[in-house]
Amino acid sequence: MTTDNKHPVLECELCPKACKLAYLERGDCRVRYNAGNGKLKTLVYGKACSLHVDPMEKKPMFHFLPGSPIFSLATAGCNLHCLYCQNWEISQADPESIRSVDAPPDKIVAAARHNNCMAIAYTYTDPIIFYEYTYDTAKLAQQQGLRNILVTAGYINQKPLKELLPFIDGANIDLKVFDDRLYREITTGTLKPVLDCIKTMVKAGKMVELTNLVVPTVNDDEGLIKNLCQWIMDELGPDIPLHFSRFWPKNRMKHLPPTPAETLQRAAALARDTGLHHVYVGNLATGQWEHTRCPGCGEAVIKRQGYRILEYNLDGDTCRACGHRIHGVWWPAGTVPPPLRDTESR
Amino acid sequence: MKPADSRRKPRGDRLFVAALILVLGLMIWTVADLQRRNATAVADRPAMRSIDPAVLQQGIQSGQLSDHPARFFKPVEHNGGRP
Repeated sequence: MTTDNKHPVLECELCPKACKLAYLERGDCRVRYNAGNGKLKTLVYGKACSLHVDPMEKKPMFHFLPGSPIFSLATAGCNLHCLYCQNWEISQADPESIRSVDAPPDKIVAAARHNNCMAIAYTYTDPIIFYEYTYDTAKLAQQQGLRNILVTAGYINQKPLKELLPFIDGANIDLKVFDDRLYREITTGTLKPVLDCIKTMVKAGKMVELTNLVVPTVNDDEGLIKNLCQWIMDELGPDIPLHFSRFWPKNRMKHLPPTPAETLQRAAALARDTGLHHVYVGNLATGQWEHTRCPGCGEAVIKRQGYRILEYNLDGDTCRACGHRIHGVWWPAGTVPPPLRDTESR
Repeated sequence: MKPADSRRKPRGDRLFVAALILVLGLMIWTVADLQRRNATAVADRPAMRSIDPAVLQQGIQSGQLSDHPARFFKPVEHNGGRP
């Protein structure tokens, strides 16, 4: 490790990995490097490797302006290395090895508006590692009336997280497994900083939804799922939406089968039994676990089929049937989601 | 003496067999655990990798890479116990 007065070793304080970087070394995320003269630089500011318009439900965010399109972007790299990563082609790639486009924050915000998106998602890999890009884009987007959603594994230190939060409206955070040893083995991260990130965001009043990718034989143990659900109940309350997502064999876990439907439904039933109000199953058409139900009367306030919204029975934030308040960021009273508006106007 | 010995011997055998089963069980568990760890082994510590200055220069010039200042870091005097 090179250390001299001109090019000191730098410790990155963005995420709990705390990479110590000698001159011209980059961190575990592949994108932050010691540029010399005491400066840390990012290789991916304004360099998007993925740009798409997605449905909000794909993030998944089921309790945030349902049915609205969301402009989604990512850069190469990630600070975790999940063995089953579903986007490993870009998350585990060096930024110089994949094709990126020049997309500075003003271009992103303009593109989002041009595509009639009310929100921008920082997603696909992990926005933590393109922090400065996320920060500047989210700040500009907010100034222009757009919302900002993080789709993240939540492996970030508290200081940078708290500085970013004023510009963020919501997040889907991956809670991969409720066991620190497994977290280290599967993701190379640790559990506590993720839990702290979730608690900080919820405490700050952001709309947080959680996703647990259920991988056969890895984290599908009922005890692990029960502990995860119980923690959510105890620390966050019953209204936090929880998505159990289906694993598809990828990256270094191609030898495992896709998650059986019964496993996901059992996990969802377990979460419901623990007391959670809003439990969903993703990457699998189940019917039963796609709808948002009112905790007051049990009616389906939002009926979905995949990413499509079939029915919307909310008036503002309350159930049309019983008046119970549903946790989320909803369309104003008297309006319906854009896809249903199009149907009504036809 | 003889009857007492013959009573004690089977108990000793049982203890020996139990200890043997325990040891064998531990060995099997250890081997299985090691195999599982190897199958899913990843670097526990962050892997710092150097970046080729030529690649860096070319990437920045072509617009593929950025040269933007990052935040949240501090200079350190030591290697932090890194191997």
